[in-house]
Amino acid sequence: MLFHTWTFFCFFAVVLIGLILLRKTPFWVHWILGSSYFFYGWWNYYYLALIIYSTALDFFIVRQMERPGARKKLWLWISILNNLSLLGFFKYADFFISNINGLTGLNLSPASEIMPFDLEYLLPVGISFYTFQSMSYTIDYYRGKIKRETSFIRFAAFVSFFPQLVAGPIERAKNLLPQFHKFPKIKRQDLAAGSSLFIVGLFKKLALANYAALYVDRVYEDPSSANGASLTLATFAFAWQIYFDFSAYTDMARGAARIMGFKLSLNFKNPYTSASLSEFWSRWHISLSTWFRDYVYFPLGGNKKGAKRTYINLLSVFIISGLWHGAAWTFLAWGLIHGAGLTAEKALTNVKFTKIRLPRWVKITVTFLLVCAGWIFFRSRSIDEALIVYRKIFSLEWNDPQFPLFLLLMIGAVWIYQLIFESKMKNILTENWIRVPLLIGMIIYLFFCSSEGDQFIYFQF
Amino acid sequence: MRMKNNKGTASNALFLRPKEWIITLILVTIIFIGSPIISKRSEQINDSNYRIPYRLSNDYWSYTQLTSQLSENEIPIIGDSVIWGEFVDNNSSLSHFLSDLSNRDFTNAGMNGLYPLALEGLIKNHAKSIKKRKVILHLNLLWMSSPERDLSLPKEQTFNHSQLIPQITRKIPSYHAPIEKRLSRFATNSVPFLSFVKHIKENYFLQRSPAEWTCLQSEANPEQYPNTNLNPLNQLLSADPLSIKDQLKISIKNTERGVNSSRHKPWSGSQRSLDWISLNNSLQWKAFKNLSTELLSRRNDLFVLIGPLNNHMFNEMTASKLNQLRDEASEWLKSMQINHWSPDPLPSDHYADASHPLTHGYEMLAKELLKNKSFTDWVRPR
Repeated sequence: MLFHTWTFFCFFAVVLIGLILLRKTPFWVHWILGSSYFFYGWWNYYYLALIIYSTALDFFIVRQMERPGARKKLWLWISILNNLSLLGFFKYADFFISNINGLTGLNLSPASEIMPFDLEYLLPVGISFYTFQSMSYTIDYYRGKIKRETSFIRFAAFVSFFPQLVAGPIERAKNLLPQFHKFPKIKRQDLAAGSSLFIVGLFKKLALANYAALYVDRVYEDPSSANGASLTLATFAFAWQIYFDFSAYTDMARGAARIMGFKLSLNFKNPYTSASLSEFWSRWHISLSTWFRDYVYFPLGGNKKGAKRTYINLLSVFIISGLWHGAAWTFLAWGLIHGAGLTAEKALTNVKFTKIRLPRWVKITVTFLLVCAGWIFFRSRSIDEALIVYRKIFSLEWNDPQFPLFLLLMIGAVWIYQLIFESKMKNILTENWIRVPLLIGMIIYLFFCSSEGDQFIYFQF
Repeated sequence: MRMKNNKGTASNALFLRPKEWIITLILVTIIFIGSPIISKRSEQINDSNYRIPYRLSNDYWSYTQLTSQLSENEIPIIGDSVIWGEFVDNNSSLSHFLSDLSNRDFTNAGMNGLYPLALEGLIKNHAKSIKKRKVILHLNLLWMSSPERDLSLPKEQTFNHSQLIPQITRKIPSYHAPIEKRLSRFATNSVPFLSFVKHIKENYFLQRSPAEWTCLQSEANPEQYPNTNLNPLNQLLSADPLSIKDQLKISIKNTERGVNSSRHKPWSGSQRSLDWISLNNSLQWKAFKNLSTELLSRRNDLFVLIGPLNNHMFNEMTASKLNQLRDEASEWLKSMQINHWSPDPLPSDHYADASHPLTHGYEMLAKELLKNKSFTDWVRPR
């Protein structure tokens, strides 16, 4: 069930009405849990078994941890290994099997052949998101950062909360779980802010992301027959497409949750206004980057064990982050580019010539180009294809890219808007004579957009 | 008035306050209601032989326009491609000959590709202005000539005008659209603004969204995307949106029609048998009954024209079953006190196929109708 569909609107209306009707009973959490499972089961009800397993596992493991004399560390590892095994089997099994077969000449059977009851071997939607969310609860409990949740229903509602279930933001128990303890007070301000977020998200997805996809898909369909200019512009367009697509989902998730009185974390903060890669990662997919920071980078030692170790840690985190996005060498290469970029950025911080003061717009442009260099691997179907794209871009055999001017105008307008938002002139954007007409324009334009069959890019992760 | 920053949750998203939302919703509602009204006034139909152009066969807003612009004395003839005139041009359809041979104005309110189930949806949702007037409704029994045509086979079929059939309230066994499509179609049928948006897309953007339109590929040269430098908003101001077709060298499927076309020729071939289904089990017949009731409830003065089908094409058993169905339909119409007439089949060479007359066929049918007393009595102004 996609957010930008009539089915979701009907579903959400029913959930909201039910929630309000049950507000004075203890069953409102059950209602949210039931709705979330219904939402998830809409894709494929077999997936439900996995989320219930992952939820039950972490709930009972933390209960075991609380017992006097419990071997907490052992239980923690059981939780981590179980969650990673789920992820590993459904997301990476075929990747590893095909690579092992390729390297050793063995003929190991693909994962689809070991599925029980003739079930199809499919990547369950959102598995990377909810396993991370569930795991963070166990780790935070182990570290003494949170108390144990005593109600299974509340914990299950936290893991499966439908607005953020399939593509984040990956919430921490500390932020979201307490919100299930008391019926959320739905204020008028929440309705207004939630609706605003939802409309902006809809616009980003239907008017911008899907539009950019028309050009990107056309060019990336066969990079070998595209010219350098087309590939350059398609890469820039992809950078925006993936931002629009993913942040649209987050906006709509936050909007839907806010309408119900829940507050989800911010996941994007104008990433293409970043003046460095480290700034980019503090603005892009914030909930995932902080997850990796807290649960991988810091445990590895962070930057506390000397420069060399810091660089290794950074590279490791970004390689893992690349693999989190998908089981393919292209994602690994994407992670490596970012890891290497950040390592270089850190290494160069103390070198004298890098302290030359460059205008911020130059830094923003350079950062954007670096990020785009990474997106080439992210978008390509193979390493070979990505290399073709690079070769073509630098070959300078450039012809008319036939890039839609209207798309350029729309992307340009968003970029300028974001740059103003991040500047001292920000206040002008908070005037209601700007906000109200913009929202009206967005709402009307949405009706002219085509909404057929467009999944969100991040659903595949 | 300025909005305070949302500390810690600020993104580039635009936030409106409750009061601003109220203003926004009021303005959006005005646009929702106002733009279709303005459009209706700006798109006037001045051709007395007008019929919905073939390329706009899915533009139900055009049908709304057509029916809402009927003058007080005009008599719309509602029906499928038989009324629209599948093999003839604008000047040779039944409505043209009826207007020509009488002193009354008849309007071609047929639409290509319709069938009773779709017709019911079209009239219920997109022709609400047909009320308190004389209306001719055509009954084409050919839609009951097989379970497949009746859409009562459980096997999924693709068919025209699926947007018009009942999406949620009734089960159509041959219609297997997913719930999302059904809800979307239900909304488009129910909200005039959505139908208006579809009209804009059909008319100005070759049935696409403005974004898709800027990425259109030229058929003449697949390497070319001639709209990339165009502003879709300008397209809305274009006096002749159809010129984009030439500009793009995109052919819109539009079959030749009229006496000079190669398709305009009498049917040929051997007689065939049809697997008629009984009216009691027919979804199309049920839809026709609903449609008649709907038109009556709007206080219309209804006249139903049954057939005439090309009996020469059917073997004896098929023809006899057809006659039986025709009698049953006639019985029901009588019980409802609806004026109706079932003319004899036209000469064989006046048909292009099982149901569509050729130019002379329409002319003959018009003459026959005007000779029929029940029709002349009904058509006379009161």
